[in-house]
Amino acid sequence: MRMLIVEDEARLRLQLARHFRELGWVVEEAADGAEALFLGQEHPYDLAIVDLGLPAMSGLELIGSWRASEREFPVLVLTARSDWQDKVEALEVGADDYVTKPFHLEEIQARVNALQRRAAGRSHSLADYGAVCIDFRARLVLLNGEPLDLTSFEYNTLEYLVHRAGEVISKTELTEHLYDQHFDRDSNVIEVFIGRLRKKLDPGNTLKPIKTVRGAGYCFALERRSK
Amino acid sequence: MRMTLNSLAGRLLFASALLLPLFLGATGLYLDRSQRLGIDAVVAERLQLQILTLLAEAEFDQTLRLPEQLLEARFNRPDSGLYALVSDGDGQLLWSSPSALTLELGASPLGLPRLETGGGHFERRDGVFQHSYQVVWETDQGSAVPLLFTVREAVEQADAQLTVYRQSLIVWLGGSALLLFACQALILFWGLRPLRMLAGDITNIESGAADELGHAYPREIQTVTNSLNMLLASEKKRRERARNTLADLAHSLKTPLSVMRGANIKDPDYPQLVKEQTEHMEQIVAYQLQRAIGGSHQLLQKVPVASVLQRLQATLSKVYAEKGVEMELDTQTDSIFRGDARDLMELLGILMDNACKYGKQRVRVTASGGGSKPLVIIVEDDGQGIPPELHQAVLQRGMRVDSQQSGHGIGLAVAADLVDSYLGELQVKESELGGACLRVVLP
Repeated sequence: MRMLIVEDEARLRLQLARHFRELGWVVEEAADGAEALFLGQEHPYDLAIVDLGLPAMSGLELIGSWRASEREFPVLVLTARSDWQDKVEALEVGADDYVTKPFHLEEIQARVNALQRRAAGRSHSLADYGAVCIDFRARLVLLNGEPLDLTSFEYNTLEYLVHRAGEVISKTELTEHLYDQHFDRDSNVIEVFIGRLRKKLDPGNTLKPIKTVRGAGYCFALERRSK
Repeated sequence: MRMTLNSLAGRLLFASALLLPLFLGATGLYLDRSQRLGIDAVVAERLQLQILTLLAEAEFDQTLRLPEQLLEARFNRPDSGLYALVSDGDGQLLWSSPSALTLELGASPLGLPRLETGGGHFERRDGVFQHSYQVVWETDQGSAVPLLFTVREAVEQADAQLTVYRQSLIVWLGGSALLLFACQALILFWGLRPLRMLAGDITNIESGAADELGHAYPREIQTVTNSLNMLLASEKKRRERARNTLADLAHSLKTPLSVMRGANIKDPDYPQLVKEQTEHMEQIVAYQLQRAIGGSHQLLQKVPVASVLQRLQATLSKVYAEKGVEMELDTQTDSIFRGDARDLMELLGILMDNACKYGKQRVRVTASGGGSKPLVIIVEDDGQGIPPELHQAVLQRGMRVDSQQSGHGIGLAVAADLVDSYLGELQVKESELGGACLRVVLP
């Protein structure tokens, strides 16, 4: 998943970026509103964390501009001022949630997870597909109740496909959301990951969890049991 | 000029300096004209009398005869300024007074319209007043002879009279103009005194010599001075509040700082202690900052409660989307809060956020009154509620954060502070929904 962090305080931005990179996110950083506006309009992000007090362009203006140009990714706002007037203004302009500074990284992570779940239309962090069960909070995949040993990239690939379950996702889109912009898009690394995922998820080749749609991309095909 | 027009007194004096000459000039012209007409009328009457006297002295027997010495002495003295002429029906001069001998009179009075018998004509022409009177003389033979009696008088005397009048008119009108101007300046000085007093009072406030506008001001600017005094009082209160907040903040931050400074770095519990104390400091900062927001409500605005509630509902339903809290608003559309919109937003934000956080599924907000009646806002939820033994404790105003519990505590203490600053009341009860019921009454 691809995330944009907009924060002018370098130390805090790096802290956040490092935290989410460790969790497997593809993180891009912007130090001011103008740069963030450009990045947000150029790249498809899955989520953005925006500080309200930014140089060049305020956080409120930034979010407003994104929403005006139909960038609909969830936005989590960081604010140093804790009064309700600011929170209400931020959410009215198009933000989805807020965290007041100072915060714990765990708190941010919980809000990010919640926004992700909300964007995917799930209300729980556990998704049950029968034999395959995914715990998004723990980043854990269970096959018939046994935890699978997946690499971070494999998990991210699966998470993105599950996130958009039922839809056909092109290789380009997968690459864009899972790897940073310097990644060589012509490489067949996606095919390799999909191949490994299939082997790990479906060793007996009976479930067929990931379908290949020729010329279009991949699709997560399992039916969800319950919410 | 710009300097003059930049002051009220300057503007008013400038305007009257323009208008006074205009009005007084018009008055002068009118008075001058009346005087001239008056003099003309007097002269005309006098000349008519002279003609009547001449008529009485005249005799006609074939020719017109008048005595050698006329009653009016000026007719007898050459070049005296008063002349008499008599001409016949054809305009032929029949007789002229001795005074007129040195004049080049010509045949008859010039350019006269033909007059009816008994008709007179008065005019001022070429430096003389001239009055003519047409009569018909009946002779003893029974014939009627038309005769035109004309009396001329030099204008010098009348003009001299008029000049004297004009001079005194100018002196009087000019004097009144100066007097009026001076009076106006005095009136302005007196009338604008309250404004100078106001400026002086403000200078005193700026220099710290006074706290408020102390003088009694006239009704017209009393609204302004009252508002200014209210603003000053609220500003003072706000400064005190900020100072208190800073003092409280400094005081309460020093405790955890001392704890950390006094701790032993080599102690294995040190990281845990630092973590605890920084969390504690974080709470203190949050509490004191929130507390510092309210309190600027001396100049009371009218804030519609419904719109604030709707904005908060929209915001909170986004924040608590996952939890799926069902929020019910029951407000009278005309409910009005008198004060700072930010304070109301903060107060309701805290109460409604708590309700969403601690409630299970349902939150109900009811607002009524406002305007002339006290504004009552009730926020209820279906959560665990607040244990009765804590009902008073969570609202304790000014309770230092050192002794606060997290959760309901900080927010509610801030809310209680806000309500208190509006002289209102915040009560904690149990809701029929099962959870907490917070009732705010604002007078």
